[in-house]
Amino acid sequence: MRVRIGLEIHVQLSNAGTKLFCDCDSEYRGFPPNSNVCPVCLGLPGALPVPGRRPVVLALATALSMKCKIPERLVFTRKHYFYPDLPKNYQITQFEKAGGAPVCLEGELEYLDTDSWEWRSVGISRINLEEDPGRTYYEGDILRSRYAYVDYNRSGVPLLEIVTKPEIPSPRQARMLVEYLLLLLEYIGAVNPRLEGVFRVDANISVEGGERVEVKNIGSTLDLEKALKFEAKRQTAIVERGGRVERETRHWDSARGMTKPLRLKEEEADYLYFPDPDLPPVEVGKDLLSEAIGILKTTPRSLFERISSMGIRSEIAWSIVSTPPASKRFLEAEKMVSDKRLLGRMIGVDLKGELKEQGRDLHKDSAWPPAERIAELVKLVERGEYTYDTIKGLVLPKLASNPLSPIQPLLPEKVDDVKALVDEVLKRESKAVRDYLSGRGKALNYLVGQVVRAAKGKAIDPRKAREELLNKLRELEARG
Amino acid sequence: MEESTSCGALERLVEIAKLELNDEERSVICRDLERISRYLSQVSAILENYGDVPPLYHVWEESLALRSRERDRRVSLSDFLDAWKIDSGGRVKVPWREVGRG
Amino acid sequence: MMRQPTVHELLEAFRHGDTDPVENAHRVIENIARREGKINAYISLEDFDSVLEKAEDSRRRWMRGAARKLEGIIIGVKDNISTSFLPTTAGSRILDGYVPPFDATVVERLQKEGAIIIGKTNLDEFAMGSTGEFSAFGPTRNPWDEERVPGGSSSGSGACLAYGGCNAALGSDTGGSVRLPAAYTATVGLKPTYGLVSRYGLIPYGNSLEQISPMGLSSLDVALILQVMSGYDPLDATSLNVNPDVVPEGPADPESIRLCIPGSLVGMSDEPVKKSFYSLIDRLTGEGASVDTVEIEGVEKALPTYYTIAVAEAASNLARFEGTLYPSRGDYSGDYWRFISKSRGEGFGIEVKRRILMGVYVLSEGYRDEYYLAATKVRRIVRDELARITKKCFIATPASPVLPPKLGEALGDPLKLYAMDAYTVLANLSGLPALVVPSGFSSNLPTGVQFIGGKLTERSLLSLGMLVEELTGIRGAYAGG
Repeated sequence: MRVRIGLEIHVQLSNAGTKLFCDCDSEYRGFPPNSNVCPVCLGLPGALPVPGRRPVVLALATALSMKCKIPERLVFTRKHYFYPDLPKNYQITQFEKAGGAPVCLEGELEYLDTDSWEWRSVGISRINLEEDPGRTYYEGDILRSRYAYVDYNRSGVPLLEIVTKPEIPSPRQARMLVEYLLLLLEYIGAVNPRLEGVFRVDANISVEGGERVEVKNIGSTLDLEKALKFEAKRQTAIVERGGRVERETRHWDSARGMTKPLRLKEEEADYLYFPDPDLPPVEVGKDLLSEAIGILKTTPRSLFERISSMGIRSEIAWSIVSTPPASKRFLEAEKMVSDKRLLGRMIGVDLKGELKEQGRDLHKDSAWPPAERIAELVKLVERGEYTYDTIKGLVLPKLASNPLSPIQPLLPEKVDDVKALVDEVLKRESKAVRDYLSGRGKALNYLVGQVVRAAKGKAIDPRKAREELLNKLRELEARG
Repeated sequence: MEESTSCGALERLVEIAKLELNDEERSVICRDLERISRYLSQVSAILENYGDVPPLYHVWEESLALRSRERDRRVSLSDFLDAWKIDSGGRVKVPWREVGRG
Repeated sequence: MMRQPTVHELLEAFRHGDTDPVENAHRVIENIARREGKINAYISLEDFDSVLEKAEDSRRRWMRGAARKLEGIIIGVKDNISTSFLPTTAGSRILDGYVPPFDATVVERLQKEGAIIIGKTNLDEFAMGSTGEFSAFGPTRNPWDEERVPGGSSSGSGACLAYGGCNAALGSDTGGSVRLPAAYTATVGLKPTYGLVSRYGLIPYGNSLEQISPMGLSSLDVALILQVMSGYDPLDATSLNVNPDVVPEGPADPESIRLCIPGSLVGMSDEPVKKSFYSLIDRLTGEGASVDTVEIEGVEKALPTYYTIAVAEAASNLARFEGTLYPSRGDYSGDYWRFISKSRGEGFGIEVKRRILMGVYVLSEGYRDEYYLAATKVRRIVRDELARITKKCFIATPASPVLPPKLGEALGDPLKLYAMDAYTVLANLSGLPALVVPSGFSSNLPTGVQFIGGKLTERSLLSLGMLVEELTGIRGAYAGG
């Protein structure tokens, strides 16, 4: 049954440096409660908001990346509702229907379908730049807590509200879209997507013949797919039974893996929107736009296409692109080597795999060895000094556990006299030799293995061993 | 009739504004609201004599200067808030739910 | 008429050693001790010993030639301007006990130039009122006639000046809140061009309309205070990026003065007000000033336009006060929404409630376009019209259509109360600077004249004020009592 999904994605600009309207830290995690606060983000009377340049530039870059219509002037509006985490009891946002001008109206987000390796696109209705409220804690159940306990460290953190059109065709596509979006925002330096609570998604989903259901409180891309799958199945079942899917708001219970109707009936609110008189419009001039364009130089898409154009398979290219420290290494090392595919394989498959295997944080830059080291390894293979398998099997594990180590000490000793080893093996393995000479070609592989084994951990090129073996065997054959 | 309309409206306004009124205030404001709203409604009437006038929200219609990082103005809650409203973890305690005791 | 020294005169006397800041402080403190009990101009006062200590520091600075621009001048600050060293209540019970963790930019600037802040002056709750009677800390009385109001909302600032309880004062002006008290207390008040003075630290009422505004015993005093407190502030996004010299060299040349009088608007004034106003205008023309009568388009709708915008912004600004981050009384528990409704219900006075509810009304869905949006459009008409007129002349009006009312007289009817602002709101709607200086006395009650100038014409406005003072002889007026 046909499904239509629309998303409302809230992403904190955690890397903006400052909060949206004051100089407190945009990355509030790790501060003791209420120690990342000032008169502005506490909403104290008389303290005035002044938008920071960086959050605005990041929001513009996001809008540009989605080919948005960007207004000449951004206008902030106030949205009023009473809640303990909202210190002014209004939120500064950009509601376009009450004189506001959001950073984006009408855009298009392209994302990579990593199942088919095709680019897809979905319409963006708008993007708002707004302030995040504080965080509230309860004693046990939210419905039974006598007090709410509020930490305003998060209050005022710049938040993008990205609203897509309801045209995403499946839960899996929704997930891939959000994953791509987060990666994009990471590339422009706006967000660290791995921070706890850095994004939240509200989704609306409908199946053919049913009303639209809103699912709130989704905190990860994995949960997004799960929640939407659950909901699609639930709604399909209702329609197939001949029932009606009513318009409602549901809540995703991640622990139980199901959506549940919201018990609290939301009252019809009147948000009393109007343009914030403390905030004259922000002129989107050439300087702001060129700054935004500047940070858009590298997007996951441009990078993916560039890497793919070097003859690297999509899976590997994506593996590199989806891990920014890896793509950084790739772009640097790429200038130093000629075999790009080898480099791609080393970074995107084997080194990444080794780091993962060892439980390192792949997104931490310091977990990765410098690009020159990686390039050095590739060049060793290019020059035929070591085989790729030797590097992979004997060097990468050591480099992964000690990324700053120079390469030389990590390299295994090379067998300097392959001939001697071959002679030794031929002497010892007279049965295999006989077999080979009597026409059983397979015995050659066995002999090669024995030669490699005899190297006892020293590097040896199996091709060279095979060559040498064949020479000797031919001699033996000729001698009869 | 006017009066009952505006008093009906008053309940909705009180609900949005989260503003409890006592009986005396209720009757005073109920009376005033109707008069004041009629008074303020003159404003839209005059616009009929004009074409399309764009709204004016900021008197000079200038654009603002964005902030670059200035100076740290962080404060501590205990600088202005009663100590008993801050819990031992440093969070602000806010009444939340009516809970039956025991 | 009894006189008291102006700031300018004090600074000269300090310089020449004719008197010193300690003597000045003693005189001010004496006046406070004598009159404050009855007048109620202050909500909170600095400890007098500490005031005298600061005065002593100033005295020494004058002695060693290290005096700053306002060294030793004693200033009363309206209690809606944030100070970290004195409570800031905005005249409201809901903020009783609140001490902000920061200083307003203007407070920082004044203190940096050696001014001594002696206390926080009384006001209508959240600056909403025209008489000073809506303060939760009791009404302020007019030192010229204690049965009458001193005008509002900067009631305490006007009153303390008149009785010598400060040398200069700060008020705030959203719709006339320094100009009305100036008129009613024979002092001078200037509402600066919107954006000339930082609002950082001013507890907001109508953000798009208001400015922190200086009050003084002469136009020159107002200029000296304004010079120190004005100028660009990166903490206020509506602050203009200018730093003009606002201190005039002397009184304006009367022959260079062109005045425009909105005839029908002035006609609405009470007789004694009109009489006092036109007699001043006659003297100005006698000196060579030229006068035209003008009709200002949309002007009759300025007042409801002003109130619509002011109440909308007020409802929004005051949403934050709900008894959690600010002082609270009584039981601190129960359902959140019931708790805040109760806190707000108990914390706000009747006028504030009236304006919040009107504000919600004009912003609410279904009414926003008819009220709030319409008002922002009419505001443009009024602004354009006033900008056009003030390019060629100063607009002259009485400061208020009525003489200072008796206490309680104007309270009953909100519309009548709002009408007191009929002339002053023009400057707030249009962002233009407006000065009120004493025009005379009518049966021993002060009257004031208002001049509205073009954007950033403070300096010429103030030189016009100096000229008027020459003609009336009212400068440093002292309501001895």
